[in-house]
Amino acid sequence: MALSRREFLKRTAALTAASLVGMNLPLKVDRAQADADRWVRGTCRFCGVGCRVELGIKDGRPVAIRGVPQSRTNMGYLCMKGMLFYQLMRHPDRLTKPLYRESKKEKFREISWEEALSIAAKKFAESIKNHGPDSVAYYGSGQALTEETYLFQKIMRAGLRTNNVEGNPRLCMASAVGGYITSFGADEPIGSYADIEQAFCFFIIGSNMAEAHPVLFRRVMRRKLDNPREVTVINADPRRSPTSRIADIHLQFKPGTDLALLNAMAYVIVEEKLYNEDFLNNYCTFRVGKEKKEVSFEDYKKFISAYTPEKAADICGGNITPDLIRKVARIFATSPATMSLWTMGINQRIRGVWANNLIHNLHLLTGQLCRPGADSFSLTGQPNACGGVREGGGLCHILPGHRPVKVDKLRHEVEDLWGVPRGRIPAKPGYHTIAMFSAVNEGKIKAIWINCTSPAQSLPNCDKYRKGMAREDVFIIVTDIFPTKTTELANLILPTAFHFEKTGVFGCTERRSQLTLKAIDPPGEAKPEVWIAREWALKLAEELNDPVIKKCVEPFLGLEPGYELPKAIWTEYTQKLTAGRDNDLRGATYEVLQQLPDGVQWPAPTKEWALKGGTYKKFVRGLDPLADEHAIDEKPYQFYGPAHKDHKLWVWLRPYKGPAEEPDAEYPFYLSTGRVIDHWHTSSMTGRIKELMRANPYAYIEINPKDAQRLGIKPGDMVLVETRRGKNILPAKVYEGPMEGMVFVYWYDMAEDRMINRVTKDAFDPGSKEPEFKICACRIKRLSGPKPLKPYLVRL
Amino acid sequence: MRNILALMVLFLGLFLVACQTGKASKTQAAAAPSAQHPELSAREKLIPCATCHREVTPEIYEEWYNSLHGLDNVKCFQCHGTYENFAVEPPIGRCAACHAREVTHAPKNKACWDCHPAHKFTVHR
Repeated sequence: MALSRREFLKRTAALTAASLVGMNLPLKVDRAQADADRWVRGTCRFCGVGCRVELGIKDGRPVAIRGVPQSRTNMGYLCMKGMLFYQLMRHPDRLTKPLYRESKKEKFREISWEEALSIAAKKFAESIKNHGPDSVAYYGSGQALTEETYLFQKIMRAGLRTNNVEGNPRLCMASAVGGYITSFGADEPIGSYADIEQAFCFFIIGSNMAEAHPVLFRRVMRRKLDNPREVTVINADPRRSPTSRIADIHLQFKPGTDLALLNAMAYVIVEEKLYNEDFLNNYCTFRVGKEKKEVSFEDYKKFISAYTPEKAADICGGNITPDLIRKVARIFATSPATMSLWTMGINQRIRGVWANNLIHNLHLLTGQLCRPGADSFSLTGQPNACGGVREGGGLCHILPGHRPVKVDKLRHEVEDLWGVPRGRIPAKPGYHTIAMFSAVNEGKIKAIWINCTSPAQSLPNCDKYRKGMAREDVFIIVTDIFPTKTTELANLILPTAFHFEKTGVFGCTERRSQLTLKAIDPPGEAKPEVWIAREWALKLAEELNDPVIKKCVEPFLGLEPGYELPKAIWTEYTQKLTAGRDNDLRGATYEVLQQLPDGVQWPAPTKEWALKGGTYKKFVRGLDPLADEHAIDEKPYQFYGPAHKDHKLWVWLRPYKGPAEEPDAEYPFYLSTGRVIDHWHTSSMTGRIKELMRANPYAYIEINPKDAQRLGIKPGDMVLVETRRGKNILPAKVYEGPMEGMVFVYWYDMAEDRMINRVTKDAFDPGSKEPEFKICACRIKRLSGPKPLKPYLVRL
Repeated sequence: MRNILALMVLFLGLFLVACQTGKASKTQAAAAPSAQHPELSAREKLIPCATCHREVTPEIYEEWYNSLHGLDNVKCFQCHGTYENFAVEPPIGRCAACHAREVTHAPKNKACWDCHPAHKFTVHR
């Protein structure tokens, strides 16, 4: 790359002097706004922020995307993915016909939808007849619409009698769910994005939100720049990232030591009596262990006394000193309003739930909660991980409306609401993600439907699970819009409608549900998933001679799939399944969602409340209608979350625990992985947008300059990365990003040599079952100087 | 010395291009004028603009990097496009992706950078 740049400079100089050859680049195109016949409103699907957008259509073709200025999520701003994804709608690589092969060794052949759905039904039915209901599975996505996740899980649970319903949100936010439920008694944040403009201290830990949630980061940046003295930004991350550019203080610690750091901050808060005694007395209890035993504040003080700043600084390394810990703890506690923000650096850990609890602890101790600007706010990665999967019943242990599968009363409630016999939904949760793909490896799962995600690339230690997916006795159906590393292992590929080619709801990070309307037809024979699921269920009912399967889709028979069908599914879900639950969405009908520029935040039990935008802050009387409804006393905050019958917030005694695999003499480096702003997940979409692929054509390994010098690695050199699971060969980016002793690799690249999940570790949190993508041990070695590399995308 | 000379020639060239841009913005030219960019191989087109322009046009790079756009990772191609749809002077439609309201309210005879300095986009000139 260095050579190319020199060459570029040389050529630029020569060209400017002579102006003889070169590319003609127009100085000026046209000042007019994008020329569209009409603009259709929806939501971006390229992260969890939920930016409202309008798709511009001209002569039936998508030509532009613009932000919606009236939206309270993005205020009109977009990132590059949001402004360019219209290019995918007519992309020549789109899957447009059902493709089938009996054996994974064969080539795919085009078949009709009739044949495709019959095969899909026969294979699932055969598996159930021969091996039982738990031999089939559905693996979905935080990018599927709520209507899609809801319908698939209904068919699987009540129709096929299995809770083998999972999805990729297990890989990104399951620890946040565990944290919210165990600390606050209810999933999802108490506050909203609107707290950003009222916060005075931002504690951003384990999140490169500048790249992963760029439009929300803009709001934090704006808040800081507009109030440079009043607002403090603390960024806690072993890697300096673009997020660190706005930080006043950067805490750089060895990966996985943040549990010690967080406990030490709590130590300072307790030792210096910076806690909010009233808040603790009124709203909190202290808990410990699996038994959730209640203990006293004195017990907590005793526990926390082991985490002196001196001890934590020793554990954390990096730039962490006892004084720095004291300083940030004081700022956190004494700021007029502190907002914590985190993502995968906290969640993708073997103690991700504990890490979440320890952040919540700081807010509970200091009472930095429920006030404007004060919140403990987990950022969700995907556009509908919250709405579709957490709320819609998209994981093996939860039913729609935040109902645990194992609670008989709630399970029977769902069966009754669906009009299926009691006992139809099994009492036992299904396989969680790693267990599900382990079951595929072991041949226990014989047929699996993978929707809108690519586990062949996105699972940790993915080679291990690709072996199972390659088995001839495992039938794999993939629904997607482009070929991926997972379609390479499929038997049946079903082409689906993309965003704006169908109608449905996404629920973003801040409990906000937003509708995207169908604007154009999908290409070729691609179909919306809700149509596919409905038709498949009808064929399954025939194959298994089971009228209950048909019953699952009966309310939706004959409905037009572009709008009427998803509307009916949304209506059933919201009016029946969320009624009386903490995510009550009865007021958020399609009609209401269409009237508002930015949707509705639950709880929204009535249309009147929904039309005001819903609930900005949960648990606060006067702001949250359910706080008034469930009030047990006159206090201003009412913590009615379904998991804490005592209506209290729980401060947890959680000890420090390091990562599953730490560096040693053989593998001396920490390896961490993450995203870049230009690409989304596995790049099967963003890799097909020229601007985005050119901005980040292949993954690099980021190496600290001191380590690079020691190992003789120069920018662009090819570097061998080895872990106990496999190896990658990647070009080096020598960069003051990762701390010394740590390397960092982007995970979007699907080239075999650069696909970093081939080497990551699949250890997972025993509570949330979320894998520890963020940390494992590796060794690195310079292989050669720079090599010409090509971007890579799977094509059929 | 050779490098310095080359850069001087380059900046002279860019200055001329900039003058031409300014002129173009004040007239409705029938045929859009064009700027010359060195011919790049397919591989070279995979180098992000900012990587080379950090050295080729350091002032512009710094202005952008330290601007709100730079802090928020709004990259060159978001305004200027890529090789197939590149424009030295971006079409306003690209601004409208994020600034739809401002573009609607702005004077019709002016471009955003007529009032907000290009690449810094701070306050009005």
